[in-house]
Amino acid sequence: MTTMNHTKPGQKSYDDTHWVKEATRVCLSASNGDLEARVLHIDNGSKLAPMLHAINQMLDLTDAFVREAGASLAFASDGMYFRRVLPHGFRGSFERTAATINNATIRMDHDAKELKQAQGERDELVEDIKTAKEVSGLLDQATRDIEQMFAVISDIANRTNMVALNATIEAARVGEAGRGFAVVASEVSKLAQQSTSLTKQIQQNVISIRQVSSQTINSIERILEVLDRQVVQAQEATLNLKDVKAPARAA
Amino acid sequence: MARDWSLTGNERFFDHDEIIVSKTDTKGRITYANEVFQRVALYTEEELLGKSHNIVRHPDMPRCVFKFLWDRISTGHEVFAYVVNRCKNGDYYWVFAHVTPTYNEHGRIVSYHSSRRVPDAGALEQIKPLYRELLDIEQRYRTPREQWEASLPALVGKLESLGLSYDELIFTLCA
Repeated sequence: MTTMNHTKPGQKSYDDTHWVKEATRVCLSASNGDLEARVLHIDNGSKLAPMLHAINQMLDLTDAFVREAGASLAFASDGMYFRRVLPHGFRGSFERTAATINNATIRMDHDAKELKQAQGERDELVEDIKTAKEVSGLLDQATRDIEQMFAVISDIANRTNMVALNATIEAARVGEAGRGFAVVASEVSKLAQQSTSLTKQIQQNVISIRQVSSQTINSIERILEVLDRQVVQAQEATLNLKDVKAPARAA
Repeated sequence: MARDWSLTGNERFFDHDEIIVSKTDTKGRITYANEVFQRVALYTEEELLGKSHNIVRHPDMPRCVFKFLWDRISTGHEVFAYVVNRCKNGDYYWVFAHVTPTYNEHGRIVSYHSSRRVPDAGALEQIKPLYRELLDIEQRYRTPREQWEASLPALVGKLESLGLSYDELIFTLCA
């Protein structure tokens, strides 16, 4: 026993072997991840005291760093990015790693804000596209209505033609006196035929418009499906993060 | 023995590179106090171990801040606070305290850990008048419970008027 005793009255004095055992116990606890252990009741008269204080100091800083880094990352995984690692008291690797974590949370904060903005823009886009779908639906309905009118127009043209034909027959029956009327009837018949052929052309055009508008509606529906999937994926990603976070909290 | 509340008005400081560390059991009794703590608060390790952490309580600290702090950590949350402490001789020192619970392998809180850093001077300028305001409210009441019951709504109201959570306020101040 070579230790000099500078203990106060009533305080038990220990030899160097005791302090070496204590230091070993604390260091082993720390290496097993228990950062709570410290050397207590250090006898400042012992020549080992500076070493024992140094061990405590090393553990204090390691412990503080783990708590700081853990808290900052736990907040970040909850979507709160203001909780930075406090740099005070940390030097060297501790300080550099703290800066790395803080840069990461600053970046996450930035990305989260951009993502939120993008989500807002996507929501606006979905609304615009829904409006476009409605307009295309109206256009489609309008062309169907026009197509129904073609049947009526075509019927009128046929009947006009029939009336003209009958008029020609009646004109022939009255002989010379009906000649002028026969010319009029023939013109009416030509007009009816022109009207029929023009109606057919318009009908073709309307069919083209309808095909285009139904293609437009299909495209819009596909775009909406993709956007809906993105919304669902974003929601699932958020949920997954919450699942991941739970065990991290308990640790 | 009556508690010695005498104050000298002298402020003590520690270095920016240093952290005052203490650990307590779940009842708030000190189980560890590092060298910086001992040096700044003018206590020896033997004088601190086993004592309530109240040993460094300063009368200028509003009770509602401790009430708030205790409610937060006992439910498992970390908490930050600007705190003025009293040294053994009546001197005082300001800290920016970070208190966290320590869990055992079953997820139960087994102890509390406090790291205290040098507070930002700008933050203290904003905190001091707020604490003064809270203390003025508390001084109109007699029992500690009446005191914090009266001042806690004022603290909450202050946060609401700023539109910040407590943590956001703290980090805004120290940023």
